[in-house]
Amino acid sequence: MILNDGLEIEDSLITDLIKCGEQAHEISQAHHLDPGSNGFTFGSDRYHRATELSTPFLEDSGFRVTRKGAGLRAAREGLELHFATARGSDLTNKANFDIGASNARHRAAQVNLYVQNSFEGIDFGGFGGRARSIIHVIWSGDIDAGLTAVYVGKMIEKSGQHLEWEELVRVDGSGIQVTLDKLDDTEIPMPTYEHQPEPVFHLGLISDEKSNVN
Amino acid sequence: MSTENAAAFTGNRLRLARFRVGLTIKDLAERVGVTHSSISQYETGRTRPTPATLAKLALATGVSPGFFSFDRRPVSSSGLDGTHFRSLRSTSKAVRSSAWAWSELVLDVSDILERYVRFPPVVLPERSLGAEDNEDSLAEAVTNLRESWNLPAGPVGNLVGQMEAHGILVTRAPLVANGVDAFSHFQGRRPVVVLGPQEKDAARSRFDAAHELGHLVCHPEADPGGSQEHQAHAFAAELLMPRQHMIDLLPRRFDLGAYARLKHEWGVSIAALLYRAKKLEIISDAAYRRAVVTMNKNYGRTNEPFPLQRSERPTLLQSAIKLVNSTGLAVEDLANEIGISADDLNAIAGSSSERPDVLLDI
Repeated sequence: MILNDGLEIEDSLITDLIKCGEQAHEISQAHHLDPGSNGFTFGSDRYHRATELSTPFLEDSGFRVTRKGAGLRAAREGLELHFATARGSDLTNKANFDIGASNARHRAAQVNLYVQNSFEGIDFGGFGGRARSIIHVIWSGDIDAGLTAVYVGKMIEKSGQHLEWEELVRVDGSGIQVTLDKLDDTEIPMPTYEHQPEPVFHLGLISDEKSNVN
Repeated sequence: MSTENAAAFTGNRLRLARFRVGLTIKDLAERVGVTHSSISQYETGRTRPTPATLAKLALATGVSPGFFSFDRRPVSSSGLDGTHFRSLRSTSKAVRSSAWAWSELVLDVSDILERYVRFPPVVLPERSLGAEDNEDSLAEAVTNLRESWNLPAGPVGNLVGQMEAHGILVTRAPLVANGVDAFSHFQGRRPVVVLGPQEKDAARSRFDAAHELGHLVCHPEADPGGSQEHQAHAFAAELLMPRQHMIDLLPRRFDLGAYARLKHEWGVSIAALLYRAKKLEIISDAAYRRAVVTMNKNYGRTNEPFPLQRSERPTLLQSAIKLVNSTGLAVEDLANEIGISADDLNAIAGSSSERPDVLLDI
């Protein structure tokens, strides 16, 4: 997928990240009834499993993967991925995803604004020399509903403390990966239902039969 | 003519006409201006209406007086009880009665047409199943059908066409959109399958057809509320998604792309594939529930993505009508013989005025 500002994330990587989220969700769900578990441990467990499972795919795509505290960071030229989980599929709803909840999100929004307002060729010294937009990958869902959506989004800071999504793209099922064109890539082992031979039935007039007999 | 019709009047035909338009005995009595018990007596054959009342009954039920004296075949004696309906709890008796009347009219139409046209013989390898029969018996019934009908291995092609080629009358009834997905019976000379309207998702409609075929093959006696619905469902699943292939093809994890591809290869809905994966224990119950929730959340319950491009339309009756038309007999003449309107005849045959493409020269 190509974001509005021309940054590109490979479709294959997006697919892998979706699958990692699903797998992490299933594993965490299987452990949800373990002693000492609650809704918070589920969310935390799912996040850590998802980021661990994603790491090899990120590295294969040329990202340098680091951890800052609990958070996973994946960086390559011009782009840094941050990861998050959300309860519901509507990321503009504060109850589902608090866009400004952490300092890390504020900083990401400030960085994006800074990069966006800079000119090509300028040395980006203000943020530790990073000339990267920060893109969030968000796995949505809860223990009951399952993994309901996966988003890729970019947030910016507006008017001081206020953060908002500048771009937010849903990439699971209804998103970019699944199109019928792409489904045709795999060889089909036998005729599809549409290519099976059409049944044939012949209707004849009874009067014709009688006249033939006569 | 009215006097002749009154003399040849049969009560079962009146009940059929009343069911067709969804009227209760009380409704009909009020419309005709007779007592409730008079209608009951007409229907049970204890008394006959006068020619004047007969004309009113015809007007109230939208048929011609001749409809009541159509004697080329008896109305199916088992009636509603002999018909395989799904979801008895979600449909009223009035809706089911109306739907059943449609299927009886299909038999009327085929009866008239078979005076002129040789239809394909009925080939239905029956394999009667009881509640004690297991999945192996069902698989055997499906194998028998595939062999008898000479179906190639793998996906089943045009299922409605296959059914018609083997003598089954198939029709789409707009009226059954009202809660009855599809139904079938084999009470006359030919089995009848009534499917939902054309607009319905083609994949689901194919499954409905396979389900009804399962009833015709496995359940000569309808037993609403018993194990028959479950067995017909399993029959349809095995016919359209054979276990031997699905075990290898269905993904172990929910992957919409993979399921969409299977949908287009096998002509079945993603919902049916998911359920099949659960029944074959390829995915867990929990994974199934999660996948269903995800699908419903993203697309809703009735708007499955990647719809099939081809929907299966019954053609047997309309082809027979065209053949009869070629001899100079008009649709109106055929309709008159049954006592229904030409529009009704066209609708039953699937060649209503909204579909001019079927009114072709032979």
